[in-house]
Amino acid sequence: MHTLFLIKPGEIELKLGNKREFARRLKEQITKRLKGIPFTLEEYPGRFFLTVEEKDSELTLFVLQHCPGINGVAKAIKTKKDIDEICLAAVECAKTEILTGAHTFKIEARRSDKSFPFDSYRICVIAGNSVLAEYPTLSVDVHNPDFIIRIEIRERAYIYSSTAAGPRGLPVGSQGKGILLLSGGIDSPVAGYMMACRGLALESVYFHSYPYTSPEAQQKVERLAARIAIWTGGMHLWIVPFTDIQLAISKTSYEETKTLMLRMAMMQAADIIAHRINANSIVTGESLGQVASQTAENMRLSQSKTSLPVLRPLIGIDKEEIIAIARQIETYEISILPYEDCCVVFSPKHPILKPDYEELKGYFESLALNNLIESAVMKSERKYFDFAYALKTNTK
Amino acid sequence: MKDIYLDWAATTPLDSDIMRSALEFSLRAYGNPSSKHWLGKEARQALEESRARVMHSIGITKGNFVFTSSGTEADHIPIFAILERLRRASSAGKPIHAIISSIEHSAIEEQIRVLERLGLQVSRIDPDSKGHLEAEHVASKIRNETVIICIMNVNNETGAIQDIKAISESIREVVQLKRMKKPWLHVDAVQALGKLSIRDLENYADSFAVSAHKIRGPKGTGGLWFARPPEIFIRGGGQESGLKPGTENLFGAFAFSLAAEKAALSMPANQEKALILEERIIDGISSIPNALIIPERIPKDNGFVPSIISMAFPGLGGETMVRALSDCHIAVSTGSACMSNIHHAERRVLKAMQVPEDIAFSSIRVSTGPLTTLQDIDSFLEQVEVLYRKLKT
Repeated sequence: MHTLFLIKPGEIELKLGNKREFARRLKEQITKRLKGIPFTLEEYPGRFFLTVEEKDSELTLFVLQHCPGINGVAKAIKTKKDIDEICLAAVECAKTEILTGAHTFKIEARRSDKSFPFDSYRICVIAGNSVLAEYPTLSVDVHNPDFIIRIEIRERAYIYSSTAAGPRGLPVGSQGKGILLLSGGIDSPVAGYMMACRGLALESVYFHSYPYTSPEAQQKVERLAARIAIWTGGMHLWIVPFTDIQLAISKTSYEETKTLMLRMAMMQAADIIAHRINANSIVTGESLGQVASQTAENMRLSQSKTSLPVLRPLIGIDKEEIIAIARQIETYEISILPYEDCCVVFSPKHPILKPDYEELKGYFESLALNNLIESAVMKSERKYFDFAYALKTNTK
Repeated sequence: MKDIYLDWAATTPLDSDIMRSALEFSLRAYGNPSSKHWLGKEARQALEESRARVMHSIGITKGNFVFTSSGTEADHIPIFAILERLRRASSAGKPIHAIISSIEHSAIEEQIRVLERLGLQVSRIDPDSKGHLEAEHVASKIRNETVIICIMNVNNETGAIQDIKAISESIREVVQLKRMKKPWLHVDAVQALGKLSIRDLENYADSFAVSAHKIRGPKGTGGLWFARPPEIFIRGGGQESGLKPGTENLFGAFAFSLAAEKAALSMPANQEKALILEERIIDGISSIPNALIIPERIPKDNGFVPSIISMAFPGLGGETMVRALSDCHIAVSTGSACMSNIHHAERRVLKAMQVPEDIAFSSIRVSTGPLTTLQDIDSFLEQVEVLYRKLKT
């Protein structure tokens, strides 16, 4: 037995010029993520059809629901373009829905193949009557139905009801590659997820300051990376040993500038890694004013340590909203584990809020951290969380 | 690199002779003490002998002693015993009240917190800046509806010894004066066992809890002494006077009894040794710039057991120091190992002693035992000074 999935692609439908390239990316991503599962994937205008063996259908649905560039997925029935067969399939859909407790329905039909003898309205009426004949307890409600049976007449007829939402957006990799600063807190995983859904392939970087930060804190970041890898389709995590840099900053800096100096050093290290892996941008979980280091003035200074655009998808988002997304993508419970994140080693009581740009930039240079930062990146460990691993740890 | 173990308050290395004897004994005597056949009877006899050996080693002459699965469980039995009264009082719309010190182990504090949510009123007594409770202060909180008072004998973080005798006498005075029913006095003596004589507790307390693994016995075995049986909460097969139902852990009980015996016999020598180690630690830490002993104390201060000492390295988180020392194969801990898993409870004891937050944050606990040597202490002092200089921010 096989299961057929009807896949509705996301924004690639809007991008006229690059449509083919985006479709290719989406196919590539689906193919990569279904490694080890036998499948066939066909592309038609505005739709992909994926067939897998029934035993793989649950896992496949999970994969598709977490693949950016997909708007929605539905298990569909494929029939000949024959009104009787179509009606039988519609009844089959209704049966599945009744089992979940539905009472009202409507039918929506789309006829791309205009040679089909019935128009959309007629298809709805005929199929609707078949369903009602089979299940007299159901009733039609065109405004607020419990379920909708959709019928699409294309090269074949496709009939489906419940559609599972995908992450929408663009296929991963269609916007190049970015490097995500992953701290272990609530925000950065959300930022990573959001940019993955905007088509950015990601590698992530974590600054580890042992013994100030614990092995448990690193494991927490690894769990977060493994979780985000579900959307990115696997992900590298760079673990950069940052203790020497933290110590150098702590021994020489003015108390109130320590956090800022650290952020600048991190940005510089991220920039080095970004160039090494051909990333086109750096992604952070910063949100304007959320903490002292996230004022516009402080961000200007940290940004000065890279020539790449720093993408901050959370910049205008309220903490409560960020938490809501973190809960939805199931990173929240990991993020709130009580291990210190990489920035808590210094927590000056009164961190600087409105630094003088030139003065502080000069001050950072005077710390002469370049060699230390270069060597920290050299000593980095690069771990890969592949998609199969992510699947194993994230599906029940 | 030699392992240096300075975390004896968390647990102690097993005594290999005792463990071997207990294993050999258990391989032979595998019967269920409740069985009526000869194997059961043998097991029953061995269990009662173990009980007698523990009581005798501690110096208990009256009351009863039951084996439990841990010191924590032994602490819970007298606390759970008030549940039925709490229910009755709640349905009659009357309060019932408990008094505990604010420096109790999580076994008491966290369990009392649960009962507090069920309506128990609780007074928490803060210690002075040295970590000692004032007996009159404890007694002054007694009300008509006070049913239980829990006071630990030796604090697991600071080593501070509470004067249970004075507290008990103050309680009696207040109770007699006000003609009230005497509340149950439970003493957590888990850290006291093996470090000082607790034989007098039978004259002052209604119950006290001990644990085998703090005196080189196996983990998973504790005990509760009581003058008269508390109300039974956990029901089952009626084992251990009904207070700890479930097939008895004869291996643990037997090993506990041997460990208690050995601890009693070697106590004078161990105490003397602990005092020498204490002096070396206090002198050594005091000579490291900025480092300090908390609370401030001099060697041989009889308000503290010499084998447990807290200290702080301002400007360096205690956890960081523990990790750094661990890399040098030196084992110490931040406060209580049992509290390291509970975020909100961290540094609760030091906070109650009004230790400033940044000092408490930078604290570690060092605890010694019979196998600790002066060389161990010197290596520790040397490393801790180097690490402090290197990692201080």
